[in-house]
Amino acid sequence: MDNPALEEFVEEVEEIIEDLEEGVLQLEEQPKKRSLIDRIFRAMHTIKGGAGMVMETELADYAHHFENLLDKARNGEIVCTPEMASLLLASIDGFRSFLDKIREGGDVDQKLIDKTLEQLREFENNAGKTTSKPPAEKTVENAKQTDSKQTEEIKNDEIKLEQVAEEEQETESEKTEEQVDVQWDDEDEGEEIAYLLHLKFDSEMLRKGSDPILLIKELTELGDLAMIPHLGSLPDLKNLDPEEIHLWWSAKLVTSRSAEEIENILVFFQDEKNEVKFEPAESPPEDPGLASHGIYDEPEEKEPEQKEGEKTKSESESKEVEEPEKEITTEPDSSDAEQQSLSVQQSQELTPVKDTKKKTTESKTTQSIRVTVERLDKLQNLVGETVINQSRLHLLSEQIMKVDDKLGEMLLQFVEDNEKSVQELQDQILQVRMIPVGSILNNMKRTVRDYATRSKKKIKLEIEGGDTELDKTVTEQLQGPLVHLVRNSMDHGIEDSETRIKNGKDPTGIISLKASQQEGYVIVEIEDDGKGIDPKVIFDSAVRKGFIDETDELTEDEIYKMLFLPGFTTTTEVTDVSGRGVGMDTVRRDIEALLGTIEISSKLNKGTSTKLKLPLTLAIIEGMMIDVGNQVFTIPLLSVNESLRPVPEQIKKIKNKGELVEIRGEYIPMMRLHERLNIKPKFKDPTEGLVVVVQHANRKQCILVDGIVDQGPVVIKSMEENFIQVPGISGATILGDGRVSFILDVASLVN
Amino acid sequence: MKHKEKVVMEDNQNKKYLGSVDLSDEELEDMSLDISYSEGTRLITFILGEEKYGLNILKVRELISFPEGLTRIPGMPDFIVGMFNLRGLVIPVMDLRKKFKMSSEERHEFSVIIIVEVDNKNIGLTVDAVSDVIFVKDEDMQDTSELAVNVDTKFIKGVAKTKDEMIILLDIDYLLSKEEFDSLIENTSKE
Repeated sequence: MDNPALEEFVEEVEEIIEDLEEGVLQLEEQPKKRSLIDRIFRAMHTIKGGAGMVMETELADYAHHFENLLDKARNGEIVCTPEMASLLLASIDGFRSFLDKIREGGDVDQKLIDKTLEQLREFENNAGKTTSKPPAEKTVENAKQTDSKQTEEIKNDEIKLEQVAEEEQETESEKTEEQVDVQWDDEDEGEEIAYLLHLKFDSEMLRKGSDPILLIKELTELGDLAMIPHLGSLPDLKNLDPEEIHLWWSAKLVTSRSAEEIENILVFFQDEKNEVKFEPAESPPEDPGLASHGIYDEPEEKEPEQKEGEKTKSESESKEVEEPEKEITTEPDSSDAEQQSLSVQQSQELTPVKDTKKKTTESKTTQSIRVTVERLDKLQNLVGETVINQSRLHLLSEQIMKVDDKLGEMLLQFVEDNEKSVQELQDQILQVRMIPVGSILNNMKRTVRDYATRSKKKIKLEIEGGDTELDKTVTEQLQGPLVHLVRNSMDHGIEDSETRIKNGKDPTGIISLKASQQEGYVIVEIEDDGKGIDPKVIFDSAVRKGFIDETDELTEDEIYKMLFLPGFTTTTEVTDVSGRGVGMDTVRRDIEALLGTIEISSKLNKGTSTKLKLPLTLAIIEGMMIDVGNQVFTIPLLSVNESLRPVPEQIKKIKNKGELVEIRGEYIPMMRLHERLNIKPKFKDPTEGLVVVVQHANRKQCILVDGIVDQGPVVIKSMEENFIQVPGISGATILGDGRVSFILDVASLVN
Repeated sequence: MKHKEKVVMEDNQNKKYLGSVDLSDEELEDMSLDISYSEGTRLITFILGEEKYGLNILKVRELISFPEGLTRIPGMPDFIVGMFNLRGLVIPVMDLRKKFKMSSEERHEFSVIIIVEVDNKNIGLTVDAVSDVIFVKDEDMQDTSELAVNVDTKFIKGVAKTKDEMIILLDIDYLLSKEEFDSLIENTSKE
């Protein structure tokens, strides 16, 4: 594919398709949401238009058919049924096939394309009739048509699905009969009411351990919140007590929630010293007249902030609240009046809330550019080199200082100033590589939906923390393991509805995906409320396979860990979805390749939870630099438990088992790194050198080294990039003095 | 950084920088004639022990002087001298003398590392000295059958004959192939 326009088109469509897929899945749940249909329609239209531009006429035609369908939905002629959602999802697979063709040459999956178009025609025929025929007849009619038209192969798969769909369609169409025009859900949301809030807090509030930001954050969750700070009571900088509140706020909240709900939040902040009031705004939210109350809606000011990236709304909003405070500290004279006039001016261009939102999202897309990862990698290498040169420069300036005080001082000053920029540069370049993990979590929706339609199970997928950011490479490589785990949950975890009801559970099973950031790691949890894993079953299976002895006593934790052993699987039957013989050990290996860890826990009949702990980025880890002889090695800090210099009594020698170190009653095998790596060490005696205790999975290992040199973040370089994977070494890094240090592969050292 | 310096080569009293187009008139003439008459290859030639070797210049990324800090890779045979940092890239260095089991010589001021690119991998090769860039016509190249050189012939592609000397053509793709590298691990694990 040498045509850059075509390349760009493919990339664009790939993105659109993702959006489309998510939109369709949402539409299935909220079939009457006008904004969703509009969004999907727009996406489809963009694909069509773009395809026409790059002369992919077949693709354009294909998109055109679906655009027509969506147009009907937009006009309220048809309502989105699960059948239609399936159709739209199938069209997405069709688009993917087109993209593959454009990218790699070859042919499109014509069978797939024809099949989806055929289904589309049928659907449109049927849908056309629903408005004129009573629903009961329609079902029969449908069934007949499907019988006559569909080929054998489609039948097997689709008929069941369609029957389910038709039943639902039936109820849907009844509704449409009653009301010829579709009542859009989001037009009902016209019930959104604007409230005016008056938030004046006790100036001592912060000292009492409370914070207005808490309230503001809660309010943002209710709906669209626009705030304006009043700066009148703000003292001069020199009189400013940072522990006092000097600002008060007027706010407008547009929400569909009830007044009681707002009241319930405000009540915690209402006391004699706080003036916290709210009242419904007299005028509807669209009314620009509101601005005269000093209230403005989604000010333009916000846009430059959104440029910074995928910031969530609440973040930028809460930031906005803090912003004026900062401004003031530097410019104490910035007056209240100025702020006010600004807001009035802005409100003149005020458009209804929904439109402003659209505008901001649109401008967001134009404010970003596409950069290849390759280019980012190059940039990162260059920045890495700059960082190293920086520390050399530091050494140099210290040497110059010895010869010439004044010159050295000047140079050192410059070098130190420069260091900040270099550090910032490094942080920024890493930041650029981060993408929200939501993109892959959302991909699971389709996986779950498709599985649920095929099986008898009802499954709901809940996603939390999709805006948690993770390095692009990590995110991409997480997809595989995640699909595996979700499939496991669907297949082995969630029971069918009948069983669930029998066990007193909700017929719909819930799988939740949660992502969050904790201390420099991203935690991804996959949880289901299914039947759980019986430790006894695992134990028996492990005995049968000879992993353990029947007499072995294992803790529950140890039992669950056995799930990750290669070749371990509890089910004998191989299903289509999971259990293809590749078990949890593949998942574990994938996660470990990402320098992460995996843990599993389960409660019988309550569900199973798998916790993945991943580094924010593959490019940088916290490392402990140790030396042996004249060589410096790096151990990932994540695997280091502790380090110590043992006393002679702690060292035990056991025949055939080598040396052990006794640490707090625990005997941990010791490996002499110098022997393993064949290096002449400074110390051969553990009581003179240092013992680093590392842990991998549940195995601990002592490593004898000469000493610790340093500790800190290191940039990981792949060994394979220019050489080969060397046993015992997981990568390389460049030290401050420009030398290469190898990163020890703890997993292989432990085993 | 010391190893970033460009290597200056002596060539018929004409000083020139590698990679520049700053060639003497005579050479330019030679080259244009060569190209118009027949197919051939531009070689970079270097000295290793008693002999002169050549490799396709398109494989060469850059020439550097010996880096200060080389880090030995544990478990690797001695001809893999170690790895070093080349502007943020971590690059392995292979000592060709050791690889070809020649007597090892102390490094001197002409010792150079040729950074070659094979299969998208950058690898450094230590040689005694780099001598020249020449153009060799296809008909002046011979295969290895009648060769008597010190080097294991499996790493040799052939020889090129110029007016007054013979240049051994290294089969760099084979020398630095994945199979060859992977065998390093197998050998060490057997030990």
